[in-house]
Amino acid sequence: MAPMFVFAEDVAKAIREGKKEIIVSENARISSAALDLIKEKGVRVVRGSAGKDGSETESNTDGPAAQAMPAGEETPRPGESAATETQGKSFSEEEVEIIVNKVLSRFRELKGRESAQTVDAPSVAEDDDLVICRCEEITKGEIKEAIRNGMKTLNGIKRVTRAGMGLCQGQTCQRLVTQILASELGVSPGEVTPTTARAPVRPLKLTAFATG
Amino acid sequence: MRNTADVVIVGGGVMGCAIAYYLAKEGVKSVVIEKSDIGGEASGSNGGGVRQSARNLKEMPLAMESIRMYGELREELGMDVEYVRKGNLRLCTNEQEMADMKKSVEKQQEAGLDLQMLDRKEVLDINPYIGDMVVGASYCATDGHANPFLVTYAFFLKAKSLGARFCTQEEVIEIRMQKGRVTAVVTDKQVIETDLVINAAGVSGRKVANLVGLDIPLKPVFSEALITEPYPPLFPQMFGHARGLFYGRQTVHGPFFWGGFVGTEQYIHREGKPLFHFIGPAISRAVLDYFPVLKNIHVIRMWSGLIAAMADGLPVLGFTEEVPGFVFCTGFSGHGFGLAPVIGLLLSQLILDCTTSLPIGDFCYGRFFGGNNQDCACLGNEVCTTQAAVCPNKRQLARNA
Repeated sequence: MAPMFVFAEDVAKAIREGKKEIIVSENARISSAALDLIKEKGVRVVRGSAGKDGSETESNTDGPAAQAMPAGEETPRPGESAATETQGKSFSEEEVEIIVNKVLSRFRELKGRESAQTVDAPSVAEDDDLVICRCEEITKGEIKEAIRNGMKTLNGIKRVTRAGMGLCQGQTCQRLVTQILASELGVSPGEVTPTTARAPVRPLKLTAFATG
Repeated sequence: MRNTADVVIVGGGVMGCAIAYYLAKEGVKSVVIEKSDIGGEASGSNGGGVRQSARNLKEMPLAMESIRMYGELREELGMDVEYVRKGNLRLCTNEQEMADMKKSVEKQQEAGLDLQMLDRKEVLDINPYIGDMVVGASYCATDGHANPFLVTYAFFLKAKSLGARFCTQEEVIEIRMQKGRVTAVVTDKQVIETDLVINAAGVSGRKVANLVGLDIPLKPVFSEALITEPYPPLFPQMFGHARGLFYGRQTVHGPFFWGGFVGTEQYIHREGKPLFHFIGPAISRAVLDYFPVLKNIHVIRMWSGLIAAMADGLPVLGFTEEVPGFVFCTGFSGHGFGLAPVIGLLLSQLILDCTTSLPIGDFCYGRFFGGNNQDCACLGNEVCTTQAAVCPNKRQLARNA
């Protein structure tokens, strides 16, 4: 099945492989970085339309449902049975290398200052720099490290990493931390005990609390 | 295969982890049994005060040594435990409290602590945000605070790297004895043969003591705390109230921490109107009185914890004559965190050498049974016969192996 999500890395890969078009599923979401790259280098995006039974296939990309859209058109919204096509344009190998490097350097910038040391280490996964707890800016790598050090509960991870200690009190990150812990322990997320729930449900002014 | 250990520590809080670390540093690999998480109970819910002022004078030498050790903890454990040594103010609100505080300060000064009485103006020089009701305070510049989670975690990691074994989510259900001596610890998952058990179980310390037929006057006391949203740094000091009603600080991350006991009675009622009988609102009212600058700040979380309160407010430390091989290290009555490094060190010395570099005789188990401290099994630096009988050194502990 054609991909539902298209990232700049996918486009870069297609360019590297010498492809002039990429086939995506009908309602695929294209990331803004990918779109920039598509616009800049005029890669053809072919959207597969839904077949009779509703399933998407790659084979019908040239079928009657596929139609051209102007180059640089905004990502089609879900439900539009249209194919995006940008002007095909050939470019040299050096050019491809420049584009790829540009995209990759952009990713490195996003990954922050420590990526140079951590990304190359074999035990560190690509996404360890991902920020999981946005209030306290705790990364996936820090959470995994705490788990591997022996903090095998959500409360324990919270105490030593601060993930979930911020303003939202884990309302954003607890699910993600649960998933990371579950995958590290090899259990289903449902088996992980949640953190202790405490009042107040949302930030409460001290003066308001004092009237309780 | 026989499952054995030189020492089994019951309780993986800051005390258990500290003892495990100082033992491991000397080459003795202990097994720590923790029924919840590392630092999951009181070590995971306390305020992080590291103070000497307003301590029982019997604890003073230990507290002073502990403060020295806290200063070196970062190097010792290789982790920043957010230790801040910027002073502790114990606030007084009326002349009576000032008079009582003065007496207490004089006694503490006699015990060798460097602290002074401040009037309102001097207090404001140190902290300009203090409310109108404060008339004075005691001030000890070498007190401070640290992050209790990280101190526990740092001791745990370092002990583990030196060979200590940690079993979490595991509860001790039996301590086996033969001829009155400890022979094994039974948990819900394993049996560990050992002849030394350290009861560092905090609020469950009484339950663990009961397993070998001993009892201590320890009861859990309920305490609550709240934490606010982060705020730009206002003041680095730790605060306490003259009568211990509430305490708090601003953490290095920005949020304010305020905690209180069920001693906040004057704030549970106001203007004759009974108010919600939980301590959180009471703490909030106290904070508003003492630090009006915080009136617009938001509370993001409240929690509660249990304090292992002893009848006389002092911990129980050391061997017992009744059960050779059973060592107490519990009942810190809500002020154990500040003592953790020194207690870890002293207990490891006691286990290894049957002697401690600071006297712990005032904290012996025998004090509850009419025994005066002079006859105590663990007085000062003396090696008494009882301790010698169970001294693991005599059994060629793995220390030098």
